[in-house]
Amino acid sequence: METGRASGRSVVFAPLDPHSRAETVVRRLTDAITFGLLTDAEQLPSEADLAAQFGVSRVTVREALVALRHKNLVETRRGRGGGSFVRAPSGGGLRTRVAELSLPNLRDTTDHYAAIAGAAARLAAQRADADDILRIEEVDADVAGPLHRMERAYHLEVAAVAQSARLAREEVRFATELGTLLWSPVLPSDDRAYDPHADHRAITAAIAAGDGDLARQLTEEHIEKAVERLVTLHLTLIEQ
Amino acid sequence: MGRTTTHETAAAALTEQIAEHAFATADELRRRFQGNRDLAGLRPHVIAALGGLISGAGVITAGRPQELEWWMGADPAQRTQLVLDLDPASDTFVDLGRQPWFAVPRDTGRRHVTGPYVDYVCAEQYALTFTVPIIEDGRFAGIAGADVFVADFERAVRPALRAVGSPAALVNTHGRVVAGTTAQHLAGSLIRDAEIRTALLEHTPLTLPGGVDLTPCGTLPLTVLTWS
Repeated sequence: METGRASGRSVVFAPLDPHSRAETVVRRLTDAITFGLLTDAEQLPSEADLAAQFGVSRVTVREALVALRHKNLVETRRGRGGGSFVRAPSGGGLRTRVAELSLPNLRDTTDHYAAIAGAAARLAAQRADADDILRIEEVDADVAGPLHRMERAYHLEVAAVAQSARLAREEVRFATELGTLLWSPVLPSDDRAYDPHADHRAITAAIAAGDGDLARQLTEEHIEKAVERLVTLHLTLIEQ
Repeated sequence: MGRTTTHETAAAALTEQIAEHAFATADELRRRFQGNRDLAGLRPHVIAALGGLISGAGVITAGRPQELEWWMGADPAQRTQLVLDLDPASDTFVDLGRQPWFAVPRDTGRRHVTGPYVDYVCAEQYALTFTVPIIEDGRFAGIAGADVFVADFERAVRPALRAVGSPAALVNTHGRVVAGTTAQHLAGSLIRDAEIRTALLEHTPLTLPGGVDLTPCGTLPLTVLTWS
């Protein structure tokens, strides 16, 4: 069945919001290549098409392609039959892991995780002082890395601000166990509004306001959204 | 002044004694390292420093590559060497520049008490970390330090705090509770009272109008609070 894959792929090339530029293009293509949604030796659309599809200028696309060449993820050939081609890194393990997920186990693991992260957010709201809020914001301001790393850093910091070593240990355990999958960066659904950083900002604001119930609720919803994405992606992959 | 009882003073003095013991442990490692910069040779001394209240100790150098000789485990049976992931591209990267126990001695040139805090890069415990800067030729060359788990610290100061009689808590300058004698002041909770928070920053013996006494623990960023 090609539709699932096609819808996954169309999302890869979906228009970006106006604030995004070359870095976002680089990240989305890097993630798609790393994840295996774009396969080795596959030709990318032309610069003009990429620019149109991403909703950015051709200069931005060119800048992104330079960065991807530096990362050895794209190869550009000149002349007839030329263009930009995907160079997939060896071992597309993440995609396989998503396809092989057990949904009952996923539900159980993420229920547990939502309980951990939600409780950490509630306690952080009770126990944070102004410096702690700054620390959380500082962690969340670092957007250079892959999504799963930012999520790990954010929720670990919240657990630390909750003053709970046990919750922090559970955060580390979850990040190792399922974090790379749950926060896998490729958008599998048509949910273009998905913005984990906006979630984080809202959670941080609730913590800063001392509203533990809201901080917990927002954290649980934040995780639910990610679980939905992962389940959708899993279903897409097994239908292929 | 006559405002503090001998019990409060005793609790503050005991806190000071424990903290100074941790600082002395760190300082001993600093001196040994500064003599020869031999990290490997430092190992037996690091291990000898562990035990009792000291749950972790060692030296971390500045510069590149950063090196460390840090061991954890007061109990010889559970002794482990700390390994830090110093690769910025890694998921588990530890940015030492963001750790107050490293950054504050580096930036101020002075010793520092970090915590109580969730030490998620080392022992994954709720801890206090006592660090001193290593200065060589006028330059920051690293830190030496010692960890004390909050649970152990609390156990050590508990009798002295309870002897105060009225509700009492040992807190840091930010109002974070290290140990307390009531359910409202458990380790990790935060004193929210603005008046107390402001008074803590002054670090002098005080009695607030509400009947709260502040007894600083020497020059340490720790204070015994009592509610009469």
